[in-house]
Amino acid sequence: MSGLVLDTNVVSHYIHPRAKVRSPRLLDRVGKLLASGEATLSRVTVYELRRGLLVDEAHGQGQRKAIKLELFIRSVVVLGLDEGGGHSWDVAAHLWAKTKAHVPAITLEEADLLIAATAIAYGRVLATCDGNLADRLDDLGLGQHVQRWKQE
Amino acid sequence: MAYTHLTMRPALALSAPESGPLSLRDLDALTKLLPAEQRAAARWARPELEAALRRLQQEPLLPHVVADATKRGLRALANLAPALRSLTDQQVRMTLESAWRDQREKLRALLADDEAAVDAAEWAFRSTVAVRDWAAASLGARGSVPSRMQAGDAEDEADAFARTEFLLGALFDLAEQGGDRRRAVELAERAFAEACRGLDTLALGGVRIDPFRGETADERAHRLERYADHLRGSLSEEDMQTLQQSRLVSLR
Repeated sequence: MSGLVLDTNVVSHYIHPRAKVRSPRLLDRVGKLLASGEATLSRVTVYELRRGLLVDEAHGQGQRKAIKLELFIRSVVVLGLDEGGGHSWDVAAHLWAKTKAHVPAITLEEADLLIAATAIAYGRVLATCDGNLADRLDDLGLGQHVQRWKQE
Repeated sequence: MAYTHLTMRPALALSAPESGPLSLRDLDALTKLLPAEQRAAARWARPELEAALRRLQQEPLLPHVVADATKRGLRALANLAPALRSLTDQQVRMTLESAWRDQREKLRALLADDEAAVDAAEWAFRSTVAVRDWAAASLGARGSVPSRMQAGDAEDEADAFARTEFLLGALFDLAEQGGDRRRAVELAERAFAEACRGLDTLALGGVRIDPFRGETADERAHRLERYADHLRGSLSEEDMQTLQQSRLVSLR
């Protein structure tokens, strides 16, 4: 496995208005990894970011924020679910089935499921600041596909 | 479908020499490269191009205004196209790149406190150059001028790059004159949005174009950090809460 897929929470910390104070190490690390292409985003994360900022735009405001988001998004590598005949979707289906078959059953939010599936499908590792998600992927025997990151 | 559309009709914006001039200054620079007997065509085209760009500088940037100004600009360039074909892609590219470096400085001066708008303009400019190169390499862009150029359905998705180029032309001329700052920001952001639209149309057809291909790893890292800074600078705590609430929890 080589390369990372950054969870939405990592990206949120990276673009936070006070990131330089709150998360200087993460900021430095993510910046370097994104620039080299070693770290990528899932199309699901892009969807979440866009829809969040488009709320303002739908109210006739926030166009400038949306443009700044686009500049950023369009300069990083984004991995989709549909490439390769929709392989990531297939992985997501298997992953979902695995959570249901697990005793006790494990619940993953849809975004977590799809982002983790994207990482697995592309042979990458999911970098997340969500310890619970990392634990659940561990429980599913997918510990090799997840890295626990700190917000700092 | 979009890709087929483009390959069947290499739009003016996708052809190298015909789409060359952006601003009046660019037109003047390219005109100087022409043989004397062909410069008359450029002299005829200039007032028409100027009128198209002025509309973009002065009227509200409503879709029909941008489309109409683009059509007018395309018509001006159509008259110029035969003369410009005597120039090589390399000549056009070098002229535009050189002009861009100067225009970028003037834009920076005009938009001193708005680096994001300068970056949006640069992104749009690089997109048009990258698409022009792609078109020249893969579509045989030096072919005949498309007949639809005269009719010019400039609201078409495929003509997003033509709109981008004329919006940039209007922006560059505005910067040259030290014109209205707010309008400059509007033109830069609109050009960026049109370029994105054009690249998305190509991507739907499987063609992915990187406007910054060829940049070094360091340049890329600095650019990305700058973009991230722009974004951080525009977001509030409230925006971060909205983003948190926008997370995809369930597809139901």
